[in-house]
Amino acid sequence: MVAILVVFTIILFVGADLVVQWVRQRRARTVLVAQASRGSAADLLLPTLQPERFSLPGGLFFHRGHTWVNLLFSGQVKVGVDDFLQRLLGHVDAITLPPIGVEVKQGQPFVAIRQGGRTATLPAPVDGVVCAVNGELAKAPGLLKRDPYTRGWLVALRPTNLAANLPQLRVGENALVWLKAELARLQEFLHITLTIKRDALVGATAADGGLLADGLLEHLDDETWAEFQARFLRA
Amino acid sequence: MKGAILFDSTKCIGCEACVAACKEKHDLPAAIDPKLTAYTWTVVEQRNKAFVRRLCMHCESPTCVSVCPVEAFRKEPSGPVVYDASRCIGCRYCIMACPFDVPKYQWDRTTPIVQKCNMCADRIAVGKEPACAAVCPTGATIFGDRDQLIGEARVRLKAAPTTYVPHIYGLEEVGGTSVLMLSSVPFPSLGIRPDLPVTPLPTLTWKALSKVPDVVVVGGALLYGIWWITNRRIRVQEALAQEAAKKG
Amino acid sequence: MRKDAEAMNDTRWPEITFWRLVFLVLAATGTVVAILRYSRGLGATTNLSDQFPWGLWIGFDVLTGVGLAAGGFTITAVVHLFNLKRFTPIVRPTVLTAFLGYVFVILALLFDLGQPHRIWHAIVMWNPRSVMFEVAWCVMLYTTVLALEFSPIVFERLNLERPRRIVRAISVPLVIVGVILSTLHQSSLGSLYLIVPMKLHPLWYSPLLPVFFFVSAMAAGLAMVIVESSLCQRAFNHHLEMDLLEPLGRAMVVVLSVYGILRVQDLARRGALLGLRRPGYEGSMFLLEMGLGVLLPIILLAIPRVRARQPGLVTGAFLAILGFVMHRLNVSVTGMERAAGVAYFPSWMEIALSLALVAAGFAVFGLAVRYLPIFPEAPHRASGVEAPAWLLARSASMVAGGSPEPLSPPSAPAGVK
Repeated sequence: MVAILVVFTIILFVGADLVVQWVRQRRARTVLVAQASRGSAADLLLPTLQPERFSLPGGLFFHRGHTWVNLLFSGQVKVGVDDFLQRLLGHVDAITLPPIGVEVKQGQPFVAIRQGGRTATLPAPVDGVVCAVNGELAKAPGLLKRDPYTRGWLVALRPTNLAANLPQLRVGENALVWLKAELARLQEFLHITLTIKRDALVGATAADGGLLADGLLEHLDDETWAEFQARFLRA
Repeated sequence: MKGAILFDSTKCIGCEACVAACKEKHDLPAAIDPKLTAYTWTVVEQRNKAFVRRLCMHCESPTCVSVCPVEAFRKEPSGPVVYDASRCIGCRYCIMACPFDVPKYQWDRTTPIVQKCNMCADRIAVGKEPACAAVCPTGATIFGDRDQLIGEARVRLKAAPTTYVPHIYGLEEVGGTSVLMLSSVPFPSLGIRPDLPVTPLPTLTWKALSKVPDVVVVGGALLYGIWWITNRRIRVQEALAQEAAKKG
Repeated sequence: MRKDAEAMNDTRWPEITFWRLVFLVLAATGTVVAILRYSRGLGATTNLSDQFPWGLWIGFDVLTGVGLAAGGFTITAVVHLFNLKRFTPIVRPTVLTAFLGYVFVILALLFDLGQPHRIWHAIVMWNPRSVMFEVAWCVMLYTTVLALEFSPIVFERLNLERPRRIVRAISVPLVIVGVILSTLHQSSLGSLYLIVPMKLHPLWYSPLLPVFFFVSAMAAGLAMVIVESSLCQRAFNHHLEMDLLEPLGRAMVVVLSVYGILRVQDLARRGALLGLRRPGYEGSMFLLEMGLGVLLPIILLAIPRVRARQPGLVTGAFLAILGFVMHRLNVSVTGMERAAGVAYFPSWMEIALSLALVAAGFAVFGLAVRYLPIFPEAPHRASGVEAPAWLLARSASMVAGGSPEPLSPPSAPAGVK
């Protein structure tokens, strides 16, 4: 009987927690809707959308579709996703990389990231031929999130048109200016979306009722997701 | 001499003089509990028209001595199993483990200790017999050397084979006890466990415990070996990568 | 501006949430019970008796608590000895859980022992033939090891470079010692019951008890890491690392299967399975324990599709934990009741104190996560500041070095889990 008692108590507490979570999500959504009607839902995101919260290594070149390029001594370049996208993305289920030998073009989709039933395609930051892919990502897609700039690299390219491509990318101070602009744009995007569609955001609240940028995309409905992809992961 | 008690159920008239003497000897409260408690170290029970005494059996290889983490129990060479309350931390493993359910706890106290019959070890030390044996009017409880008492028990069994069940309880149970019992009715009907193994119970845990040094030595070597191999593999890989980097 | 907001958050009176309220209630009752237990004694506060000297505090707080903290030695061994470094992100929360687990086991013992002020006796008064003595020493030493394993996190927070380097230098021997100590006392908790062959019900008594305790603790430790990660995700918005946890689920299938087969084989050999044809109280409890707590999680976690998704993985792990809890309580309570001749059910005070201890554990964990670097963060989060040059240089050398082949799997396209 004691075993039953203890097991039952544990189940009781877990059940209570599920109820608490459910209630909190519902309440958070009502708060959001209320905020949205005052046009300030996205303001809740403000603290987590500060540029200093995002990592932006100085030596990398950033494409406006949130991929980066690292010029290597050998002449090859390494390519990956930036911290902004990694944060917003949340969990990653699988990553599809291009086969070795394939030629990619700047701005053209070259990598697909799957999350649940949805897929985001990323634009290639430069023209080039794929000469290596990060095999570790197949085993552990989470690397992309944990270490987007080093161990989470996507592919290595032999660039074919670097001189023409590089001016399209941002580096150093330019990259920082661009990141700030992107954050402002995101703010605006969420603001407008949530004002029009109040239930586009499905319970992405922190413990204190605020919104979190981390994993934000997980909580957007499919339509808003597609909209985000079109506006931020652009060519 | 290795002291022991022989209790012959056929001679017991249930007068409880032993209980009273025990209470007096150990300054225990006079009220007699129906079962063994921290304040009643021996009782006389009536079962199937026979009387049987309950008291610590003073095992030859006592379970309580082996389980106690702080060695609060000790088997005296003179027979008794004694308890040193000043060492006890109150884990109650002895109460849980004793095959005869003898050690009892002072549940009503804030810092309780374990209590049980100690065969009046202090009396034995000065050459006297335990209080219960000294007071017994019929000779149902007698005290003496264990081997001599076993001989005495065998004599009684032989002399009156129809009176007794042919078993000296405590001769072999859990490796032998320093309290021996004779009875005219089967022991289970007296509420005494018949199913105890003849091997001392402490050997069961000792089998597991004696492997501890092996686990430490073999386990340590094995784990270090695993670490050495995996670590070396990584070092080699790093060195190769560095070399490749230099060449490139 | 962000700093200001944070400062405001810190000085603000904490919001009263449901669980904080529950914690306050549990902590308050726990405090009252603790005072009662020390002023009135064990007899007045517990339902323990001479027939049933070990109850909920031993069965749950100690036996179960130590087992559930077993994730500590499994994960540190996996990361530091088997060098599977990708599990590194879960080492810190796991070591913290293990450390807190052991601290609370010791606290529970201070309530359960009749002479708690003499707990140190085990250090100076030795009885090497006592299983309890061995457990006491292992728990003592292992708690120290866990404290050392955890200490770099505190040093990191306080910026104490020297002690941190010292602990790091001895980290491998520390892990080895930790694994050995855990092996010893996890199994010895089972050995405690080897001495009662005629008291413990044959469905649970076995000469293999130490092995069962060890193997099931390993499974429970892994399950705890999974469930705990999902709790952390829920409480601290920390992302669940499915690609790390899924292999743990796979490992659980292996460990649980080994455990289940050993148990059933052992029962069959001793003929104890026959009693299950008409299961009574003990039989039903046994079937519940093995069915819901061993068989079902094996089935759930063996299905790749179930294991790969969070709800399936967490449910499987949760069931395994319940099974583990049932096993420990069946050994310590259910299996001992018949021989004791009395049924034991804990008093409300025993339950309240156990709940308060668990609640305190949760609270301390929450505080630690808040004030110590428990969860790995992005290593560099400065904006536009110089790149982590050494990191980039190192990874660059790997591709720049020569042929990129070693980095790419032979069959492209890669990816797709």
